Amino acid sequence: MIIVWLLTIFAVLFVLQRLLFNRRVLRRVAYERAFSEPHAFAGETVYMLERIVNRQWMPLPWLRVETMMPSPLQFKNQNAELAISSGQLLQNHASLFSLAPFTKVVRKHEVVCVRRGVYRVPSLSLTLGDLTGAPGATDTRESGCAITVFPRLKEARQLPLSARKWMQSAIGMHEAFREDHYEMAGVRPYRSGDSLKQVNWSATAKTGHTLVNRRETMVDNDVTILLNAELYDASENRRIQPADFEEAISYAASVARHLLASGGKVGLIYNGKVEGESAVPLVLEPRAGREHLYRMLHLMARFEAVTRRELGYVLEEMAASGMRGTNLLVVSAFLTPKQEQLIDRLRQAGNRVERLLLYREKEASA
Amino acid sequence: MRIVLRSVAELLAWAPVLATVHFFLPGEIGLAVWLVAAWAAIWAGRMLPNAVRRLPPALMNSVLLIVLVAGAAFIDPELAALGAILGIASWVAGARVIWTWLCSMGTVVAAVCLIVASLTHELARERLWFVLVGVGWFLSLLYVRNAGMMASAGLQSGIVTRSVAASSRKYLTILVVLALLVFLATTDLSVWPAIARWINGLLPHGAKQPEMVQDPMPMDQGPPPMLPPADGKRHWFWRLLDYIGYALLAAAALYVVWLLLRKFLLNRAWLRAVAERVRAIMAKLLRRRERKADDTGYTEERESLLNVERVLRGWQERWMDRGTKRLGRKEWAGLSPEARVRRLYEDTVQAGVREGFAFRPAHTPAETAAELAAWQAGRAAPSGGRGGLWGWFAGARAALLELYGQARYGGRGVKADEIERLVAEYPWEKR
Repeated sequence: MIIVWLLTIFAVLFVLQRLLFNRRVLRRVAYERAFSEPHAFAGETVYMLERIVNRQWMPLPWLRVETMMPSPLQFKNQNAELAISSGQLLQNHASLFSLAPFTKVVRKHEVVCVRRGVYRVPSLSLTLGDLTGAPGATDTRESGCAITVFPRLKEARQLPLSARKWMQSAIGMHEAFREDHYEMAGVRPYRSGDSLKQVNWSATAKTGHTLVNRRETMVDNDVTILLNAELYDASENRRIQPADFEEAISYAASVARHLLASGGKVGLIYNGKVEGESAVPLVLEPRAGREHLYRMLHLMARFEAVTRRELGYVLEEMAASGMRGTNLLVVSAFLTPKQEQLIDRLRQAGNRVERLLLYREKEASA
Repeated sequence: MRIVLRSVAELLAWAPVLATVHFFLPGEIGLAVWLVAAWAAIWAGRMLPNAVRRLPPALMNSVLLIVLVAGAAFIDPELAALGAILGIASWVAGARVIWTWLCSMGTVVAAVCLIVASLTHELARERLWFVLVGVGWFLSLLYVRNAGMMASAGLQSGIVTRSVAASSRKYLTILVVLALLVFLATTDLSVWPAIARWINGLLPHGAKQPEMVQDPMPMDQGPPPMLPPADGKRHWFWRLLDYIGYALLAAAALYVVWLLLRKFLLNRAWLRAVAERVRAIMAKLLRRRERKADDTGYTEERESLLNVERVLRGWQERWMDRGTKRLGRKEWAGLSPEARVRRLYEDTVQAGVREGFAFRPAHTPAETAAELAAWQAGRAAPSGGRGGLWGWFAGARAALLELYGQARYGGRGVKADEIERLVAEYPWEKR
């Protein structure tokens, strides 16, 4: 029978091509996935690149690549990208390709980094279809694709007023009796005790009065930001949301960035859990420079809102250590009366301490 | 319009059955009439549930089936079978089976009718059409299944773009063409005589000629005919030549037509305007919206890695290398110590020549070895397993030259242990 013979031929060819696709083809397919940047700030858009290379004579009728992606990495076109439901933590992402022999395809997806964190794509699954479209071989491969999303940075004008004032005062200070800055800030009349080397002769000749160069004080503008991980105050039954904690980290990162950009030194103390760090609390000594800023941002990306040491203990340790002359910014949801007392103690010891209370800021903005 | 096309498709699925049953039933009602009646039954089966919504569709279709059978039996009791088929066709149309089932049904119906035709001598002429219809439905089934499998491949989420779906259909077409080629080459199915007979049947003929009575052939037949007698089967080689000839002729004809079209028609603005108008009307009739480009959310770059020149060069090099083999352990074991040293030196120089070293016959072995070492040192990292050979050569060059000089020019023998020390680190090929 002719049709029987036709069906037999087709069945034989179907089986042969299926064997070929199941056993040999997928092994020679190279797949890579990477982000265009190793790190980005929250709210920024990066590209996720998929590079697939087929270096063989057999085509890939269709190849599906599936992986579980972190939900905070949102694709621009959700309908086209997401295959199954998106949960709070993970979302299933699938890409479908079709490649001719000896072809390379690079696909670029736009991804918005919604929230800070360190996101990894540990593995992905490849499924290959044969010439008839039926699914065939599958393979699971490791992937080293990862991206660190830093906290969102704010402009200076978006920071609370208290933080802005404190930043300004930390950057430059005027002191009457110590003029040791390397740059001139004007002229002033001569006082008894001024060195003759400081006399500004041209200004003196013009005015007829003895005038000396005026310089500002080289302030030791080391700044330490103390970030509190507590979200709940049991004594007064107050709580802030995780989104407010993200805001606090954003404030801390923004202040650090502005101060470092101004040439100052910034340190960090955090009493919560940090992925990959065991020190409690996490202490970063004040340093200057871009490298230090990025180290701080990398740590902030891994902050978790889990308290490991209560703020009161941290403040007590700081007060007991004899710390003096330090600029300290305490970023916290709220402060208990005991914590307020400790802060006063620090002030009395000669430290400049400013508070940035989220609960109060939230009430003020509500 | 979509409903019309669907009803025509269902009619085609039932056509072999209608033709077969019509053949066996007496009567003067033509096949065309029955086809039109079947189409009307399919229409009725499809539209009835929409027209009468208060009753269940299954009940409506059952009533229609009974009406059709009773009506056909009323006209002629022998037509009840045809009436039943029309009723079943209307039932299936009312059930609104998916395309996969429709294509499967068409294939099975054509196969059953083909079996009946093969057992019936009178239906022998219809066999080819049943085969073509069956093949057509089978191919349709393949493409419908392909579309379904592509939707599954996309996890039913709309990530299957048109280009990917088109690629998948293209590869399926390649498989189908391959199967058809194998099928045509292994059967004696010949389409052209059937097509010629069909065309002849359509053409008008003159008065019927009286049948010629053929005189019996005399006993002495004369010399045998020059051409082989025409029998039912043709040799596969001639059939293949036929197909190739037809394909070339068709390609040439299409090319000529294309040239004529391009020169005289395709550049005409009026033709483009007409084509646009026709396209818009078709889209309106089929109620198909203009498809906008797939909004995929990503950009894609494709690059071909096939460098034809490099592939051809690789094939050429492999062909050139086929006679020249690297020194292997088997060959080594059969050589004398002097021959071994000479073979080692030659093999090393030939390996360099194959990789691009400019060998000069006028140079002495020491000069050649020095140039080879300098050339190798100046190269990037060697490819494949040659790195082992050059590594060995760099360390054993002096010893190799000394032994080679002794073996070739010195006139004295080479000791076996000297050779063994020389090849202690030699990278033997795994053969």
